[in-house]
Amino acid sequence: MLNEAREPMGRLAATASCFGKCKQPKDRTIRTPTPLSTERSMFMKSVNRSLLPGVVPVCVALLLAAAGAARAELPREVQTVFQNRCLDCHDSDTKKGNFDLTALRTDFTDADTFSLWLKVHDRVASGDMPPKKKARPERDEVKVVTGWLAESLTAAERTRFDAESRTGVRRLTRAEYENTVRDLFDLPGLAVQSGLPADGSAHGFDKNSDALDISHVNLAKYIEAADKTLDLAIATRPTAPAAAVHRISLASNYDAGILLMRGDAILLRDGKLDPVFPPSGPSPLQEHAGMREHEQLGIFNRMSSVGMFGEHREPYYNSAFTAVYPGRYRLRASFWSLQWDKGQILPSRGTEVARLNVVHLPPAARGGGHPSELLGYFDAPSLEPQVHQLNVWLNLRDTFSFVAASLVPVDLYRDGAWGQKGGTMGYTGPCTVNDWVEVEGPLHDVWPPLSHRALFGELPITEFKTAEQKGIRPPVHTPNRQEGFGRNRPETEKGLWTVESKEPLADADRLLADFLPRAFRRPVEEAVRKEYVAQVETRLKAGDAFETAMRWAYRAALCSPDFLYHVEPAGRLDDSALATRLSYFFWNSGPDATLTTLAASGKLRDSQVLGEQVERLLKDAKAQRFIDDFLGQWLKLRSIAANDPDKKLYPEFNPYLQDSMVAETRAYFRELIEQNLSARHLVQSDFAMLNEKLAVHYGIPGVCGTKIRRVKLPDGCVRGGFLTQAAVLKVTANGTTTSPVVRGAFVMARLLGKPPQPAPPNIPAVEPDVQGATTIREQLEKHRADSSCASCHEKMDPPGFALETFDVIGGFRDRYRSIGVGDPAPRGNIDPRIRIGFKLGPKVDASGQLPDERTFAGIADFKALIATDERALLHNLAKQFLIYSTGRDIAFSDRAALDDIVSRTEKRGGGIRTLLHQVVASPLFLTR
Amino acid sequence: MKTLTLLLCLLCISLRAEESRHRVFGLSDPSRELDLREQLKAVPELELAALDLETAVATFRYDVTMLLPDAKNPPTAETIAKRLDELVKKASKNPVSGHVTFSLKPLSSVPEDQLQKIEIQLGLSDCKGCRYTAYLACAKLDGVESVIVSQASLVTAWVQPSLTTREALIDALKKVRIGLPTP
Repeated sequence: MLNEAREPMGRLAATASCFGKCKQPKDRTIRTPTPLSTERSMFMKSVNRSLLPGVVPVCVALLLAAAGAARAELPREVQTVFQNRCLDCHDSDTKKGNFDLTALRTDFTDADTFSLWLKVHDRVASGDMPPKKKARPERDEVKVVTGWLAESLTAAERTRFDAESRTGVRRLTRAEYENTVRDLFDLPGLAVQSGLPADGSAHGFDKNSDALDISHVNLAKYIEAADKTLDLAIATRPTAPAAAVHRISLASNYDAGILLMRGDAILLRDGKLDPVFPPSGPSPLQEHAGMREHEQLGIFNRMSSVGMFGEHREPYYNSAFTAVYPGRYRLRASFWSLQWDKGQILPSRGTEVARLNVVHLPPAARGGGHPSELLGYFDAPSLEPQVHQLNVWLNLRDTFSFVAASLVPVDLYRDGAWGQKGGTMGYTGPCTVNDWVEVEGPLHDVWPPLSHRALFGELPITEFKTAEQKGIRPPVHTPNRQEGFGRNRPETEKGLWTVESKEPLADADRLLADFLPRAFRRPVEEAVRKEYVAQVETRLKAGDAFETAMRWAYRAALCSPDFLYHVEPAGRLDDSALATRLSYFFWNSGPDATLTTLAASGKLRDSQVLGEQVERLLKDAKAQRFIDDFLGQWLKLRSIAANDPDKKLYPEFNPYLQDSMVAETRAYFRELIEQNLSARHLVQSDFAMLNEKLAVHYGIPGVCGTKIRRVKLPDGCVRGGFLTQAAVLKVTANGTTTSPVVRGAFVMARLLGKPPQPAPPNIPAVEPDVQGATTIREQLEKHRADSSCASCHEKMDPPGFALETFDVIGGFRDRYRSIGVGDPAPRGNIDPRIRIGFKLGPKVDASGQLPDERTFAGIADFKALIATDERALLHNLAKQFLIYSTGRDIAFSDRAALDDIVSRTEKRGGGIRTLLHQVVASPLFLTR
Repeated sequence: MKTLTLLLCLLCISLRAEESRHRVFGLSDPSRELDLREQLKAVPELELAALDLETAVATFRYDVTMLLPDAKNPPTAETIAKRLDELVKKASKNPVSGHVTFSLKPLSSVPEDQLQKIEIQLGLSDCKGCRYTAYLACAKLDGVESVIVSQASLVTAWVQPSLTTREALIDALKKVRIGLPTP
């Protein structure tokens, strides 16, 4: 316990000591030869100020507690129960399960001892112990044991929490950091998260203080991130760059040229074939030759449309456009589709789907395969171009790529290694067309932008003339230039422009008085602010320009614990801490002006105001961050791309299906919150959130287009609830096979709140038989027959057996797919152009029996059984919300409060939105 | 206004016109004559008076004072040829890709009766770009004085037989993935 209290301080002290050793940041300002003593001294002052006052009393109290925790004897009645019910198996001789009750001390201040007694309490309270085959204890006996343990465990925890807070000191996670700086500076596309070291995970989430260590690497990266942020935020010109419109054609890019030459794409103009580039084939002699020569004649630079026959690696638009100015842009794109029949253009089979990505090109980028992010999926209707519009943020060197997302990957259907056999005249099939993409921007509502005003307010931007500023070093700015192959060019910029201050110290004080409370998410004492102003003064005296001097102060602020850490006082949260905790719960970012104002006025403590703010935060678009971040961890959606399904077994899988899966789960969760649906819907519902791709995958007719929308499920449909969603089923499989154990453990831990015990060491995994001779269930039977394994597997396996109904990509199955023995597989919903290489193996047996001996025939029965215990589902979800929002696990002494949250929610209808309100209103949320 | 300027230039040219003949590089097929004429509209200093597609010899008409307004002495033939080449290249430069597709070369010094005509029938589709590819593959070979590819993808080349052969042309075409129909 003492070490736990020391730990955060130790870490922070180590952090501070390493400042002197940190590599000098890549600073665009001219540096004077001074070490980073500014940051170090500011950091230590911040540490002393915010954390040290609590440390000494902590140490004293813990020492006293440890001294006072005597080796108390077990109460006589407890000893009697143990003697009668437990020691047959758990004495020093037998030690069943490697557990000797007689050796267990009663020093509840020891963490290991505490943990063991907690396990004893829970197993006795749940009826797991004594095991079923033994005589059942009397109710009074159970009460004696659990009552004594509850009292002892609670007392030990209270002592611990009186001395230290429940929630440990915790820094911002990577996602929180990025969102915070994005919102602070109004830079919605600022990309700093990937530059920070990965966070750990504890109790299922990265927000937990146990998961958030810090090292010199973190600090070095924070300095880099701060510099990157300030570079983007500070305006270096007097007027905004003019918003230009670039209409670009895919044809003018190298990747598309290759596809056109190969016969995997066609060139179109006004809805017809472009006469300057006739279709190739059918004779091999009529294949196009000489891509460079075609480019030289400008055949691909005529703003023609490109129609693609298959899903290829994403062709880029980078030759036409690569972003020079980071900022907001308006993107428009025109898509349509057709059916190509050996030279004839016919109506397409339906609405095809186009995907646009934003591609982040590195400096001196060559080739493809660069990191990209989904911008969206767009309908491409038959023969009628549809123009789509969206607002995007582009960083330097960003460009776009296009994928015909609903078409089959070319290597799954095409004959011919280099190009379509028979050329385009030999091909019959669907085709998705991109007419053009139009990029307009950068767009600015105001200049200087809000990011600049957050730092420099309304101070003018004037030209820095070295001759007139004797003794002052000019700020160093990187000029805007085209760093990629794009034909778009920046404007010519003349002169060096920087913010001007006639009264630098007064302005510094004023600007920091505005900035620091917003950055630190709480009021800032004058003495603290004066420290930063003093640093500005030092830089000014050293000859820095005002902008440069202020950058030092801002960078120090962005690297200080006041910014990087959640500063929460022990006990009941103060107003600022409450506003911050609320904001990071629902927006994964700092509080906005409304929350800050309410906090400052003390109104946030009012339960009605608090409830109103919960509603406001949930209704804001930023609440999507909560949905994405929470589900990403609770249901492991972050691992959706951890493995690729085997191409032979699951040829129908593609990125569009995967993205649709994730979108479904997120939309479903949002729907549960927006409609305030009950916890039963976690596992069972009469609707799903689908687009056409998922609907086809699930065998549900009548859904068209790319948009995810609420769809009533047909009678008898097995879908509905998280358990049957493809995303959940994929993250619980390995791309080739499913495992009832893995899926069962997932259901137990994530949905039912009853995580199984970890497997004993040295137990080998069961290797699935992909040849199809035996099923995983048959292989598990031998394992489950072992009595030492049965006690866990009888709980864990049944959900997994029920979920055997679904394959690794969430498709329904009544027979396993195999690549060895089996019967020919029917096509089902698989695209007719995909070659089927798998067979149908043994039948799936999705039946099972719960530990309470209730049986089920398949997934529908299973869902119905667990849906009856809504309280358990609600209880677990409440627990997950609390762990996520408070950054700590649920302690034993928290259980009563947790039960209270659930009861209050049930009394108010049991909805999930109500649950969120009750979580926020509970003492567990309102105290540290 | 532009048309008027052009007419005036042409008038001036015709009044004080000089002419010279040059080989045009880039005339891959008959449709390229239209491209050349279209692109030369942007060069009022000169006029394409005549063009022999098979030999790729063009006659340009121009006023030297307009062609080389800064020349202090009467320019030499080489200087004029160089200036004409610059103008033709500039006119043919693709504004998007920056590629130049026409240029001028000196007339062949080899007497016509010493040149051999080679015809090779290809199986290309009616694609200007593919014809240009076939053209460049052949035209860059030593000994090829002129080459043109018809819309029916018949390659007609005038070569110095001591420097190149039909087989060499076929090999060059194969290297750019252009095959021949089997007889």
